Amino acid sequence: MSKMPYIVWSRLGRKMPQSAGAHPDANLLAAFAEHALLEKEVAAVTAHLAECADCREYLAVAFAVEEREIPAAARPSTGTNWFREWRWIASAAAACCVVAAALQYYGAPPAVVRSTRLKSMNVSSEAIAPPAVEPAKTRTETPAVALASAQRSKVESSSITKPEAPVLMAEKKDVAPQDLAPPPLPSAPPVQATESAQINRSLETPKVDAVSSFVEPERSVASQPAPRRQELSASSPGTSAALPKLRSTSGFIAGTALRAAAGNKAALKTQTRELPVALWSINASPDTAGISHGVVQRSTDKGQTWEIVPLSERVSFRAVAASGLEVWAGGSEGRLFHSSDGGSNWVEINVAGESSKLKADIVRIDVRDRSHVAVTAASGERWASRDGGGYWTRE
Amino acid sequence: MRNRSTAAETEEHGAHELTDSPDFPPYFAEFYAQSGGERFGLSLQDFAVILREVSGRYLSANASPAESEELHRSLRLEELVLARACACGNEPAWERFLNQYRQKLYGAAAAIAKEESCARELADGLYASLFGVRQGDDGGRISKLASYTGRGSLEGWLRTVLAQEYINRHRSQRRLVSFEERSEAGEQFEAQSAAVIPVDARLEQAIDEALLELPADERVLLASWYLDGRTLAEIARMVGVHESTVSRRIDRITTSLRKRIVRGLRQRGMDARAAEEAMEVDVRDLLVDVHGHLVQEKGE
Repeated sequence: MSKMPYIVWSRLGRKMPQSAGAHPDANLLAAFAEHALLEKEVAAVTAHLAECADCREYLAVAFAVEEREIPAAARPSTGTNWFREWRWIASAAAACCVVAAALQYYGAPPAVVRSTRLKSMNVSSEAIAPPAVEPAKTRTETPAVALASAQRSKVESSSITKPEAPVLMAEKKDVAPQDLAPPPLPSAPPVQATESAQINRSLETPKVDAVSSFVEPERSVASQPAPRRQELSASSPGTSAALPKLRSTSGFIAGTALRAAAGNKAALKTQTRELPVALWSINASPDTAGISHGVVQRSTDKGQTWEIVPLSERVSFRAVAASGLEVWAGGSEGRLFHSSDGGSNWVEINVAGESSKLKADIVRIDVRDRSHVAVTAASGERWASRDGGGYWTRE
Repeated sequence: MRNRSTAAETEEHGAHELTDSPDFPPYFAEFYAQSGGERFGLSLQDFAVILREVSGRYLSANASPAESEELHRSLRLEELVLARACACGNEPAWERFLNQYRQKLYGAAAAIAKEESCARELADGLYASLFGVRQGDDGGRISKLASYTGRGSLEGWLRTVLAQEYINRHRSQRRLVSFEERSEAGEQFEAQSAAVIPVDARLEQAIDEALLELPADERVLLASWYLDGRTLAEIARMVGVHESTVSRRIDRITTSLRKRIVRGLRQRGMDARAAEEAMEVDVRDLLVDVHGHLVQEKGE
């Protein structure tokens, strides 16, 4: 770098004849660093920064320093190719989960059934032996609770379903933040789908005494992405009741969900159950094979018979994917539906970012777990969510 | 954000008035849908109030509708709504905020403060102000999130607020250090009456003229590099360009500056050789801490 004499820099540090103006606030400084200011504002802020060492220091300290490495267990994946990397691992892990769960209860692995791939429809991902549970007849509980309700028949402890006070987050330090779901709020109204897509039918399958298709039920219960569903239901804004409490060190209070769930694990291990299998597809049955309008169908007898899952008559579905009880179905005009209880109840998910929305047909859905899902549209767009569909980013 | 029952009572009556009013642009409804405010119980009317508040803060009173729309289109609507919902104590909003930003908040604090306990204290302190532990005159909480306007990302805003808090604490602690303590620490102060190396007035004039001609963005780069002592990587992250770009620009600016100063000196009657000699590194570069001198010169 070229050297300049001292006198030049001493003059540079002096005030210029033009005034530096008012100090930009944190909003403007952040927007400046992110190139989000309007053109005329860029000139004004730049002129100020040229003269104000204080504001330059704020900017440098805020954005010049690199974020320190956070332990891998606590840091969410931010790689753009994580889906390609994780898909095969997810498939293998799902298969291992089923095998391990079966060994716990039966001593012999169940047969892993993969969903069929139609000629004209892209059914992405494998619906690997999600156990079809007897759905709740009425949904009077929030999603995390609803998932746990299937286990309630044999599980005595109910503290995970009815925390006495709303909590923010569990303080378990070895659990990544994205794996922690806030516990359900008390007195939340029933979840309503945005369309007349309330699927509340019981399956013609053997009754399930207790459901534990997951190796880590405590984790699965705690990981239920509750906020998205609660957003669709009536929320209680502005309430002053039950405000989050602060603790002296971390600022967050301990969550009751994870602690209580840990106590259920031992109880769940002693349960016996049967594992019916549900397959998902688009237009699998012979009577729908010739029609152009895609409908979601489910089979619980290994593909012998299929039943239509009536989500929306206006949507022509083109992709369905499942991982455990998490089922996603997408189709025309970017419409996406999600069920977290094996298809008993569905909610429509809005695939949209800050300034744009998915409008093209969804032709592929990739599901890693209940939090990570990605959809691909006919236009080539790819959108991904890491919180079960609440927040989407376009890749 | 109003209580839901109150909003229900007046919303129907107010909705028509709102949408029919001349200063309710049609894009408000579109932005409202994009923002997802409904999930937090934010009504269209509340949303419009927020947008008008933001435009009132950054635009002049006689700004045109086109300017307002341009500003509104640049906003991070989802994050803005989230922040304002949190400021009002909306619990689903807080849950989402914590899921998305808790880790980032602590990571940024760790990057800024370096030392773990200091970082944690910094993050905890900001969290408390975000949550709003202070009570206003009306008994409501005062949350710092209410000051987020969606101009930049919420994460960037959090980082900036953290940086400001950290720096302000550091500066206030520095001011409390006594003169005697600083002398004992070995800091040297240049006396005001010390002999000043005479400088040709033409040189000062030529330098001032050349610096005035520099665009503001180039002065920012030079000041960050030469005055603030930032590394190329740091400057690159500040201004959002690649490090090599910063290096090339500073080099180009410095070379150009030298030429302008020499040209200015020659215009003021100095011959070419004298002008080049004037631009050579002088003895003060070897003896004087430039940064420290400039700090004193500015009266800190």
